[in-house]
Amino acid sequence: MSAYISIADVTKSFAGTAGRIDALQNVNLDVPAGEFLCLVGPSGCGKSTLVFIIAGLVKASGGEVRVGGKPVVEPDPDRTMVFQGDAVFPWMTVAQNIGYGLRYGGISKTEQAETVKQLIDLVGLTGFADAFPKELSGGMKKRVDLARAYATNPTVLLMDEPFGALDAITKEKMQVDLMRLSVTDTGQRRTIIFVTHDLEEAIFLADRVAVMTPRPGAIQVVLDVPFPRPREASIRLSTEFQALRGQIRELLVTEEEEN
Amino acid sequence: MKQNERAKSVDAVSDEATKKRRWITGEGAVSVITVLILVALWTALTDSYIDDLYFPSPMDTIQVVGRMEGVLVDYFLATMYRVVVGMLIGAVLGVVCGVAMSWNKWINSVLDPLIEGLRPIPAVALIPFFILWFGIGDTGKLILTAIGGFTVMVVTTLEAIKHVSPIYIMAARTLGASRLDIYRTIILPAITPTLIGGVRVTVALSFALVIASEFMGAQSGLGYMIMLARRTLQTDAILVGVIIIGITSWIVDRFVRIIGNYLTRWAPRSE
Ligand SMILES: Nc1ncnc2c1ncn2[C@@H]1O[C@H](COP(=O)(O)OP(=O)(O)O)[C@@H](O)[C@H]1O
Ligand SMILES: [Mg+2]
Repeated sequence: MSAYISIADVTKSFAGTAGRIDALQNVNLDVPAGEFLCLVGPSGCGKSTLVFIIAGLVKASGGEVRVGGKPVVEPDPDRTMVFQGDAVFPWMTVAQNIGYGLRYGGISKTEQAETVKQLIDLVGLTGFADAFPKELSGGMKKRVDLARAYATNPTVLLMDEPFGALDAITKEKMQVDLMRLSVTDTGQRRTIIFVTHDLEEAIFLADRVAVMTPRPGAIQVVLDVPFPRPREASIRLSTEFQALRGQIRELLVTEEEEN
Repeated sequence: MKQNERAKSVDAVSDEATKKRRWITGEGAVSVITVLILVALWTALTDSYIDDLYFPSPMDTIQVVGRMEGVLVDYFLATMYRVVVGMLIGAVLGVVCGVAMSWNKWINSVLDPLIEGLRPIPAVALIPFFILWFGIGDTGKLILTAIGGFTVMVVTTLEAIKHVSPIYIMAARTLGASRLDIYRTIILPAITPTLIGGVRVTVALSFALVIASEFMGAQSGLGYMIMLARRTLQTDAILVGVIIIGITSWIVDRFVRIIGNYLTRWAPRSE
């Protein structure tokens, strides 16, 4: 198993107003190319911080992240991100939002428009190309966000609790779409790191689930999810699924109690 | 959910249709009535209790407009020129400097003490100096108005940039935008709603500064006209000046609001 993303001894502290906060301590994790890895952990354990470091948005205090063998020093459109909050630019239309990353990719205007049009159809926003985000529902905005992250055809997708604010039904639909979209234009699987606090979501989506400790965050254990793909929504009801869910829950609860 | 949305949009359409059919809304009618009552009160009071010397009647006021006509237009244009040009220079420089200060910390260290030194001084207090240095022509008045607009806009711009949500900037960075791209495509649009507010303050301030500087020394302008009328106790001419300034200031503000609403048509509004 060769690591496409390799996280080695990553540590991060913040100088907060109430003194130093150690957010991450010696995080070690290897993610092979094409893997869908879900990251779960108690709130405040540094999941967002870790994802920002992988994206190149935040500098680690110690350790190193390599993607495709190269150390991460700054963001790269080959490694895009879907944020926990609403990051859709409100002053741009749906089409302008989705095409944002394409402007800087050195491709022709017509090609950009073509890609945007395809993505709009792909995420089910046909007819909304010229709408402003304020006219969209929360689920539709998240679709814009997703399409924008896909537009640059990245090999790595970083997703920080992207569906956390959606209702259960919308969320399930988005998960199915995500599975469908998680291959690149050339049919290669993208490498995805997906943060969630929803254990069912984690198991349904992931090849492996990494469980973090409370702050300062570190990787407690990485579990394999054995279910074959494509997965039906109904696998959530199977005993194996629920057993795995119970196991992860146990890990999170015990750690909390020890602290 | 879909059906609900459709029902809502149908409601919205019919709402708009009713609005268009009626030539005036209930609120509009109340406002018109208020104005009519005020004018009636004005007529009644100036006819009986109040001496024309202290406050002119509506008739006197209208007559004075007819009498002054040509010179009134000249004075109006002189004032407007000073307000608009002074304000534009000040506001543009203010926004440019604010953006430059946030872009580069060295530019910030140079300009910050200058601005902080200038800001607490009411610009009107500088008028005597400006008359001394530039005389009573347009130059001094334009510079004064520009300084007023500059201080408002530079501070507004800096504050607005400080409050742009970092999530937008991070999103743009992950999508390959350079620092210049981020200023152009994220920061400028994000601060526009706040800047519009600053421009509206600047409009009001610019009128005040131009009129004040015309009081102190000028050969044209509505402020100059009011000053002359005061010396000769022509209260009707004073009132005409005040009303024209009020109406013009309102129209300019309205104009800024219309442009502002267009530029920020993307922004959710609580109306
Ligand atoms: N910019 C920052 N400055 C200071 N403290 C921060 C900053 N960002 C995160 N933290 C702290 O680091 C810890 C981890 O935060 P975060 O990564 O957002 O956790 P999670 O996403 O797992 O909920 C929290 O205690 C948080 O308060
Ligand atoms: Mg988080």
